[in-house]
Amino acid sequence: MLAGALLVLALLQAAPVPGALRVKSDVSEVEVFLDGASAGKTPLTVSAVAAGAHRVSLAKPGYEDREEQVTVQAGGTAKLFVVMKPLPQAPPKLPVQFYAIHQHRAGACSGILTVTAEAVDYRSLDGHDIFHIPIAEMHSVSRSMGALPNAAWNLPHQYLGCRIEGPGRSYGFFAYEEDPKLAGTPAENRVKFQDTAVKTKELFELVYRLWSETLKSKQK
Amino acid sequence: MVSRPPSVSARTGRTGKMLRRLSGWLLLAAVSLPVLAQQPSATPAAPAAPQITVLVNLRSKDVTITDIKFRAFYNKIENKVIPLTDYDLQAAVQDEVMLALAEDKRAQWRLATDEEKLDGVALADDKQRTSAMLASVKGDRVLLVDVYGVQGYIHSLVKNMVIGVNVLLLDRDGRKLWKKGVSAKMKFPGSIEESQADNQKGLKQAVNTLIEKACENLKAKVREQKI
Repeated sequence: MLAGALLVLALLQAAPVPGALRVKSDVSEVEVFLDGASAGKTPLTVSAVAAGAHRVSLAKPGYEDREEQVTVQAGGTAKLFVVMKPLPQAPPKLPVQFYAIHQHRAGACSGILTVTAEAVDYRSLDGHDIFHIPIAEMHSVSRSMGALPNAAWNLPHQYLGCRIEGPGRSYGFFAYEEDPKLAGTPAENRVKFQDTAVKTKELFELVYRLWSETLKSKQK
Repeated sequence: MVSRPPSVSARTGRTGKMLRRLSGWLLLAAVSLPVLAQQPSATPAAPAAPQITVLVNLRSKDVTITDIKFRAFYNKIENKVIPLTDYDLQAAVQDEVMLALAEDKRAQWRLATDEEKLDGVALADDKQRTSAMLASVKGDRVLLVDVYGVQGYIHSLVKNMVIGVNVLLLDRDGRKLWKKGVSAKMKFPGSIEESQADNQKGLKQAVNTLIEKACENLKAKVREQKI
């Protein structure tokens, strides 16, 4: 009787304790395969995973497939956060020109902004303000109001410009849809910030895409 | 008078009466026992766990970075808004919040549905909130998780990232039962450029860590409160 109880106890102790696996991704609804078998879609927690090394594959249409190695500890939860990489899209037809208002420290001017694969070029209507910002030398590209001493967490997007930080200098632009009848006339006093939302976002997304392709992570 | 011993018939009659009475009691006991067993115990039953609808309100899907540059004669402060491309922040926060709350068995937690049409911004505002806004809620109370921003602070001395959350428990009449602030902080992942390389890998991983930390704090804060 005692020997039987001891045997059961020994068997219970010898049985491997499973762990759990939590898989998350930046994009939601990514299909997760654990050691080749479908486990569900992210965000996902898989319980009763045998302790040890496992292969986790992630797939979603429009994104590159990802494969990760995870070690699950007995009784613990292994966590995995995966950043999916979108498949390369057709490159935009460059150069692209935008009518833009250029922010000065005080005031503004208007002109034409030309985005090419290598640089962003601006020329004001009066020809006084001309600059060339190589994309590879940009420090940051963001949406911003500019150099304002306010610490609001969430500024309304429609008032945010496209901010480009180049070597030694920052530039703020608001792009707008020009009325063909008024083309060539100064726009800084007639165009309202509210009307610049769509084109400014378009400008930001184009420059951001070109700039982010030049970035290298710290790990690399 | 000479007392006579009771006759046999009388004796048997008395025993029979006793036996009949005993069998009656036994029968009554047999009938009543199952009935008694079915009756609720004298101690009052624990009240059912309240159903709490969880509403996650995300004020912004972007990261705002306050970049402070110290100069010789002035300081330059700039708020840079960086949209998190492809990051389903709403789903990420909701999932983490529900996972954290699921461990609290004092209530049944369920995520608000689109059909309930709850306006998180209005509900978070004490002046705007009315009971009519909660008319469509399916549940006893509403837990509003109001994420008001993910912010980075970068200057020469400190590089931090913070997430700020307000948690409010509201009853069906729109009364605020309690409100708690929850936040989490971590170091900013490298420079602004490095954090955005590889489809914003560093930035997104940092935001994920912040959400996990904030939800751990949220779990502890909710546990301290009455629900």
